[in-house]
Amino acid sequence: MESEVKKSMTEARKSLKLPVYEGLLAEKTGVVLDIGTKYTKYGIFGSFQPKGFVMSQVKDPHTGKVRSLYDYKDADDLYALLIEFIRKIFFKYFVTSPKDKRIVVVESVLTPTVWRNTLAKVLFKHFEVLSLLYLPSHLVSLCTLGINTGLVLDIGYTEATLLPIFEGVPVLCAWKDLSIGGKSVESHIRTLLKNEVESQETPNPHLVTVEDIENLSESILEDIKVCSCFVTTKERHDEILENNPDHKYPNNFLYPLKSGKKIPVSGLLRETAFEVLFDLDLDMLNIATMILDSLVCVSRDMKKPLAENILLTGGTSMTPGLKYRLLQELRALLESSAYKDKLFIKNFKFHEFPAKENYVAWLGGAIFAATESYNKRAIQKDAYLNNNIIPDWCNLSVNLPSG
Amino acid sequence: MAFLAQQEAVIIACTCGSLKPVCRTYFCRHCFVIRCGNCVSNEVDSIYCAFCLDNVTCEHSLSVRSHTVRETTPQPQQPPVSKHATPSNRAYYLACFFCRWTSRDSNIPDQKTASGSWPERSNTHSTRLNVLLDYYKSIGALEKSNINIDHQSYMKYLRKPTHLLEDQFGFSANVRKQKVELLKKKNLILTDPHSKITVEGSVPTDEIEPLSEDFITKEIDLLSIPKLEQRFNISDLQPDHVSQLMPYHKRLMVKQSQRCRECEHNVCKPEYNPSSIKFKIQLSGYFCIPEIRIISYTPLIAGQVSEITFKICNQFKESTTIKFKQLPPKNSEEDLSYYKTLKKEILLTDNLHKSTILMEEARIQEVTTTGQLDLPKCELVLPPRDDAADCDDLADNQNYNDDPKIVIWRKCNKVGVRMQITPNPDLTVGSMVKVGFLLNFTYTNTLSSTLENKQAPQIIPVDVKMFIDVGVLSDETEK
Amino acid sequence: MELSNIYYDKEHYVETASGNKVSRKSLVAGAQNIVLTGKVIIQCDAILRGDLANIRTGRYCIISKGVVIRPPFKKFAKGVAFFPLQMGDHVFIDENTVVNAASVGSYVYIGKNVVVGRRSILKDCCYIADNSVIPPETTVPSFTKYSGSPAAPVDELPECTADLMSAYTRNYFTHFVPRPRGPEGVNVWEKKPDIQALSL
Repeated sequence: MESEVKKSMTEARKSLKLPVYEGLLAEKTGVVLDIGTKYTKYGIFGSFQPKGFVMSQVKDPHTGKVRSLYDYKDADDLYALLIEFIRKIFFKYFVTSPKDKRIVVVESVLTPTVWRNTLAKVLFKHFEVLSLLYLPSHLVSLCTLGINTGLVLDIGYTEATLLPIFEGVPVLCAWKDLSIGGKSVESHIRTLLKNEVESQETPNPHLVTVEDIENLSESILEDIKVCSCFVTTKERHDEILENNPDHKYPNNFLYPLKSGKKIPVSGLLRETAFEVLFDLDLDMLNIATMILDSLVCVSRDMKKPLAENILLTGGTSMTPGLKYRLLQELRALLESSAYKDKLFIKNFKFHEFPAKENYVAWLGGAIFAATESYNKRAIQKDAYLNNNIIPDWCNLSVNLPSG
Repeated sequence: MAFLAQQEAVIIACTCGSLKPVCRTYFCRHCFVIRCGNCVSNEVDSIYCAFCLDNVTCEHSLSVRSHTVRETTPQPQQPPVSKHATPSNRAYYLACFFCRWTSRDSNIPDQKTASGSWPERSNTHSTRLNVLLDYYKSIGALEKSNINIDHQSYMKYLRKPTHLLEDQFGFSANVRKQKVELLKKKNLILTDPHSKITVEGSVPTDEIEPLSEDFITKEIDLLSIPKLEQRFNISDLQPDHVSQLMPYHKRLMVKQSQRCRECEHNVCKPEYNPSSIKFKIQLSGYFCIPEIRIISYTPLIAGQVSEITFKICNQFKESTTIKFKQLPPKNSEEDLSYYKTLKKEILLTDNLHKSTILMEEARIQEVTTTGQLDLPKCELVLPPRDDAADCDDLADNQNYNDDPKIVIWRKCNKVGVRMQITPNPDLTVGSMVKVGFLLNFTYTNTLSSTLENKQAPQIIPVDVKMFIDVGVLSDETEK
Repeated sequence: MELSNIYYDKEHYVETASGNKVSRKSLVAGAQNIVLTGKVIIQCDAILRGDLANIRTGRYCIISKGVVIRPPFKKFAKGVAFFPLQMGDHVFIDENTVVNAASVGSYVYIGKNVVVGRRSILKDCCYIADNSVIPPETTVPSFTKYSGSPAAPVDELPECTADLMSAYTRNYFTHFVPRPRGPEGVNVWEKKPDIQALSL
């Protein structure tokens, strides 16, 4: 029997046509990167899902501490961090050398110039890539739907950014952003947990203390957020606000830690953790008003098409119940005095992606990169080395009106 | 790493400016300079599977993402997988030795053969995405072909105010013709019936599913909810229940070879096994640069002289002469002089040599030393490394005319050196005392002498900046 | 930093002719099945299960306190069988680690509180970080650092690891010295050491 098994195994080996290894062996292909504040999505041109997700952080080569890429001090510091990061992505995850590869980087239109330039310098000068193309994340998100008009709201880790696209043209004047996202939800969870632990009368040795909560790592908060929290409906939220005694909270549970202690997570926390997205801040803004304010800014004939083509992207927008609640909030706000006379919109419509929201921008980039348009638009190595300029929409030297 | 961490007290500055422990540097024997991972070009030498050390398709390429069990038990990542045969009908399923996951847990049907035939899952949206991809590809192709509208002339047309006045005054025949042409070109892309480039756009909806009641009524079972990183491994599904987790391909590993960017010689060729002598191009700095280690020091007190002893060890197969020098003043010309010679950015633009040698700017990293080392003036000669001599405990050849005040002992290729160290007077208790100096050693180029011209081996002096974290400053009163 | 001397009490250790230093407080079961090639240190509370199958170590192996070296087994239809455990030269195993490997190559560093799963193979020049768990039947390739539970490759080791490791174990051996005694301290262990007397 043993020999038969061996035989069948060797046969199976032979019958395999192609190596299961899906590396970057083909000449024409390249790598699409979407370096988010929390997670980086990486994959190959024209593929339909990223090859993987990795935290946007590296071990500092000098101190050995793990640092987020976005915590850079200056351009030199960022340069060192990015070298480590890009090296990790290529040699560890793509098992290939970035030399003479095509690269697409999907980024927000509002990426700091220092970030773009440093990344280009790392890719061209250190890794000697063949060509590089920066794509605006909001715009390419439309490529995943086959439409030209849409109001793209990207709710990410540190901020929510909104940019309407009309007939393929970003409407920059209606851009909105708000620094709420996964991170603010997590810090809200920390505050709620602290309150809960403090409110306990008798200290339980099996449960965490306030200091433990303060020292809780972000990954645990993220895990609590992902495994238990959700966005509740407007009706239920109103019930909570009214302190309705009939309100039935979701189940409590205990989250175990490595130390053996447990974190008590209450139903109230599970239900209200995401309210930071909908609570009006000091400027009376939340993610729903962002959409409406942006619609106020655009010209009249764009309002209806944009309102009926809303795209929600970014990891935080995958939270259960978020879309439903957002629609409820939008409808309620539409009736409010602030928008009643400004917007004459009847309905809001959302798009469903043929993908998960957290990699929609990446997917758009991967589709765009697979077309001939890549070669036309990408910055070639020689061109970069000659003038060291990365074209940018806000840079007049490359955008002077000609003719 | 523990045994390497002990070495990281001693850091050397690479030619490119970055600071590395000696074992992470290379020494190019053609340019006679120190290189590190940052200033060599890394190349993929080979790709292999960590399990079978083979680079063909191997059975280990399938790996499972198994259940999470949160902090109470470890979280498995990529456990190995074996095939189990059930004796009756001999079907195979995958099982993880680490977390007891089996492919049956994820409802993957058993297979008749042991390997190779495990179903490859494809993206659930692939039909729709293929349509989109084709659409955008043909738009890209159109853009490339010559019916592409001339962007500049179109912009020129738009910027001319005349077309705005069309309603009042009408166009001249000429302009109208131009306009029609342009618009035709513009619309061609999307309206030309022959090109057939259309795609059904996604249809938006206002019917959003309300939040499932389960969130409110159901108990949370942490063991059935995968962690984010587990979800990300199946990027297109990102399941929220462990039963939907799927096996995924194991990552292959890469062996990198390092090439000097200047002379294009390899400085390191990787081996699968340390005993293999396939290439033996391993110009690690560890083998060439004299190794310095602290043996002991008397308590360090701010502003006061302490004694420190070092062990200096020559790992090279030729003898070397070392000298100690003070560090050059910061940001001196010397720092960058090396790079200036290279920073021509030799962009060979003539078409015959399309290859470009590209040097990055040096990234000099500032190091602030917090102590002064009283460096000996004399030269030290270190005999070559001799593995056999290590076994001979009595090998002492004291013919070195050493200053007994400095050299305290000698053994084979090692020498014990005593120096005086003075931490800066303004240093606070508990902070690290860091000293730096320039070590000048001679490198004997055996390469040239082995060539036809039977010259005497070339002896090249090499300077290397060394920084040593001696230890923390202790309290004066403790004495 | 150079290692400082590590002292042991001379009466607690036996030294063989080939330079092995074995603690009397260690448990060496089935000593007839154990081969220590020379200059091996076995510290107190270490357990070597030679009674299960052969154990063979190379030169300069350092087995720290509380380490368990246990030959791996394999289940068959008719029961279990134990397989010999091979260990190369210059292997360092830190405290409280359990090694169930089929083979451990040369120049291997295994950290504290590690579990090396059954029938796994550690190739030459690898590094297992503290608190890792190597799943059963894993192969750890050369020049890699494994860490985590289950252990996964996290880093690469420099090409000179073999030399670093051999320098480290040699150094450890030379610095592993008997505690200096006063003039009254006479060495009482003059007779030929007998490992078998220690085994159960």
